[in-house]
Amino acid sequence: MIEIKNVNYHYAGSENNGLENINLNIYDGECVLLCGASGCGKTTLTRLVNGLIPHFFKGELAGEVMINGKVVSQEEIYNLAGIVGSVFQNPRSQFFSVDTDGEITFGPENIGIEKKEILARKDKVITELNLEKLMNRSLFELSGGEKQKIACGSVAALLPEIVILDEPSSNLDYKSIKKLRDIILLWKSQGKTIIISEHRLWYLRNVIDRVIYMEKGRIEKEWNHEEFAKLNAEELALKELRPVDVEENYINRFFGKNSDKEEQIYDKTQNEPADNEMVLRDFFFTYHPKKYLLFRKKISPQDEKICELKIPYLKVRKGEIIGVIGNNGSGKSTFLRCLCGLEKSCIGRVETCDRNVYGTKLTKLCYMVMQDVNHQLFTDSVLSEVMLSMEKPDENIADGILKELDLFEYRQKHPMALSGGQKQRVAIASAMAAKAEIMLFDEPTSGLDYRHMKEVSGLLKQLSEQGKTVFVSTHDPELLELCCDRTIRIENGKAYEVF
Amino acid sequence: MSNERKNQDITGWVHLDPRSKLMLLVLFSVVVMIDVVDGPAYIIRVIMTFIPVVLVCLEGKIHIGVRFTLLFVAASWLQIYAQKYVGGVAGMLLLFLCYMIMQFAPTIITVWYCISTTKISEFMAAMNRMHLPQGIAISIAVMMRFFPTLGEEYSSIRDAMRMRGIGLGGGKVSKMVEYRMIPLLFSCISIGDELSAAAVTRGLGAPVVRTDVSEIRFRFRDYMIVSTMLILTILYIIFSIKGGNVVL
Amino acid sequence: MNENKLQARDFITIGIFTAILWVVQLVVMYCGYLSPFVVAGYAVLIPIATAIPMMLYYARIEKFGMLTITSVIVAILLFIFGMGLTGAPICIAAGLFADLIAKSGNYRSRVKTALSYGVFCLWVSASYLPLVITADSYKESLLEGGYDTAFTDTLFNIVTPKTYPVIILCCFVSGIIGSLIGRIVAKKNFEKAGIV
Repeated sequence: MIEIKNVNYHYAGSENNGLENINLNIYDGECVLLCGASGCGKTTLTRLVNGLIPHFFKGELAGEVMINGKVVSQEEIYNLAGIVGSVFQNPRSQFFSVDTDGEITFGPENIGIEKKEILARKDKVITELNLEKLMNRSLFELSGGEKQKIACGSVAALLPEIVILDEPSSNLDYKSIKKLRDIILLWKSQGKTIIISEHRLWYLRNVIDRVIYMEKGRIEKEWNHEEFAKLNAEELALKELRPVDVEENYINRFFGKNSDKEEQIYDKTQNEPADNEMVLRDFFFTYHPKKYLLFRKKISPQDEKICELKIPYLKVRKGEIIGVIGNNGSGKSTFLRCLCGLEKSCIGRVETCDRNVYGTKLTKLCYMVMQDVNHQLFTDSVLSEVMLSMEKPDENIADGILKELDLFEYRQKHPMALSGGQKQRVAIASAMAAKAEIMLFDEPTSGLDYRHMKEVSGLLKQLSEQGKTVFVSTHDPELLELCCDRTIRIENGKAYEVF
Repeated sequence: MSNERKNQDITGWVHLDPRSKLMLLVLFSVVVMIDVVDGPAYIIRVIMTFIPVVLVCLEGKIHIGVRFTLLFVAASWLQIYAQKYVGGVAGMLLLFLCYMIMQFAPTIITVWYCISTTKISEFMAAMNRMHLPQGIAISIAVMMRFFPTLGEEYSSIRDAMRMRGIGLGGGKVSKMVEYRMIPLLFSCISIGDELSAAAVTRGLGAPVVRTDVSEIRFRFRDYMIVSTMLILTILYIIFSIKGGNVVL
Repeated sequence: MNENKLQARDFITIGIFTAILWVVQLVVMYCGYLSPFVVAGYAVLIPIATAIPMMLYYARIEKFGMLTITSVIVAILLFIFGMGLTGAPICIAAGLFADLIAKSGNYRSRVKTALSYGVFCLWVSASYLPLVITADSYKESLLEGGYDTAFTDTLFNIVTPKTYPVIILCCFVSGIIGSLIGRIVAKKNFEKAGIV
């Protein structure tokens, strides 16, 4: 049993994400969901249980956390390793090995379990979680979902009584989320205590026993399973939570297999674009080109067979918001990368009524807000970040853009000191300053709460009103519903129109 | 796609013991340390240079081996050509370039081979056998794992720079460095923190004797390669002393 | 728990920053391919280029031993890249002294950090050492390799047993200058962003 008594906590040097007066008992075998807006303290609460607080993060801790009668703060963190297992948000940064086998055995090796036992556990974990296909691979070549599965396996091999998952689905597609749910259900059936902190609620609806809603570091409300399942979207939205009925309402519609509601997009009429239209032509690309010795060849439509992206023709209206969906590895990100001119060997071009843009010139026409927005912030203040994108730096124009995006008060702050949503807006501001006409968003809502998701959708609409064409790739059907004019689904590199 | 590929072991089918690879690196470094430009010692040097290349090719990465060979041959040829026909500053620059390629390219391909075919758990096992302190082993293991991560992060940052057309930093070297280094360091710090958190919750650093699941042992091929390299190195040293290239 | 003992987290930090240090210095070395004169300038360029990550590293160091281990790993890498036997001990000694100096300032004193980084940078001079000790044979081999007499003379005018102290001084001074630059950058970025 986990007992949290009168806990108050502050991170050193930060006002945010602290906890106030937390009292909570979690019983053996219970599956608990922690939810609430970003910064409500749910991640902090998980860290109390796995011992990262106080052993790893510095701060002031008052009160007591006990697991099976042992006080967490007095145990060494490696002694907790066999009791509490943790799966984290970012699949890229939580593996230590370079190969999948080593990652599964990593935990038990550390705490010195006998070799025979480790190998037996490894086999068991592999069968239970269906990891056979992933064994003997380099972790660097796995997709996010596959990495997250390995992370689950690595935790399971330690046979913990308690498993903690901190926003595990943030970087996953629909298919992988379902697999993650299967794993959680398996653990539940094995009698493990499970604590999940999460923004995506739909996949957990029939998994959890109890829901704890947090606000500003306090526990505000508790629901049991029945009460929670009955909550409708409006009630949840009031609490800034995402809907739970995503699956039946949207997913089957958007992700259903080649239903009759879909139609492959191809070149029917060879129409030239009208005034308010653009045509994307010949977007073919492969990551595995024909073997070459010294120079890479450009890819032409004749290479279609080996291509991972094959979109010969796509007509869009200027100012349209186009949702791009599809599972990881289907060619979604590749499409966006080609469209903004990052893949040099792609011959795709964008035609408007008076222009024909291709090759590296696409980088001027299009601008992508990357999934990890940290990679595209270069300077030491928000203002200079925006000015950097201008051909002729003009502070007045920059200020105008910042005001429009509610960033004016932060203009002298360091972009990295801002929150995730604000960083995204900074990136958008620099795109506007660069006068990009097509804006691409690569999963802008992964790991965001409902309020921020609504904010993003508002922003996209704002951009479209200014005449920007927006492509947004996403795994969140709610977002499609909120703002997209049309949706295309990419599967095996081909684009389908979803109605 | 990647799923259809056969699951080839990272360690490759040659699968040398990490300790043999270490030996390979040490012997190789001895050879690099002594500079020789002609005579029998040079021939030995070339032979030793191509042993790792053959190993790389054996792992099915023939195109890399061929590219390396082409580079090496081109550099040797260019060196001779430049010696004879190109004078002045241009010749000197050319010679220097060739010299650097011939000097470092073999080491780089060897290091790359050794790192890319070694599993972390194997490496930890080897370090354990050699009684190296666990802390240093952890540091080196993290380093090995971190090189590819650095590459991934850097390539995303470079993409972002291309998108904004600031790759040349407006012509200022300081900006060029800054735009690359600052975002890279920011992501390294956050990745480092997340990696540490994930590792300590899985018991890294527990004061117990770490179990090593990986089988590491010297096989016949280990003895073969290490002894070949050893003999070649000894011959190399003898020849280069005879040839007047004093050892240290 | 012994707070002063290095823990898993510290070893991971060491690994990460050593990787960055090594990659940055490799990049500078590659730039050296462009011109032989840059090679002579390594003593200035490497300390300055690696200063930014290293100052960030210093800001995260709290315990004795981290710099020393970094220098041991760098020494191993130097050895593998053929700047071996003579270079490695210098590198480790530099790291150890740098660590001691920084420790005496409790890893927080600015002056001590600058001094410590200056000393740490002496590892760069280690890569020149083979050049100095085996100067004659090295020169000969360069000449045999077809290098211009003018070039070898220039190079060996810059790098001789007599000028070795100058190179050491160069490393040290550029280390100190680098640490100042690094601190400015750290203040402008990492402190402003609140992650140090």
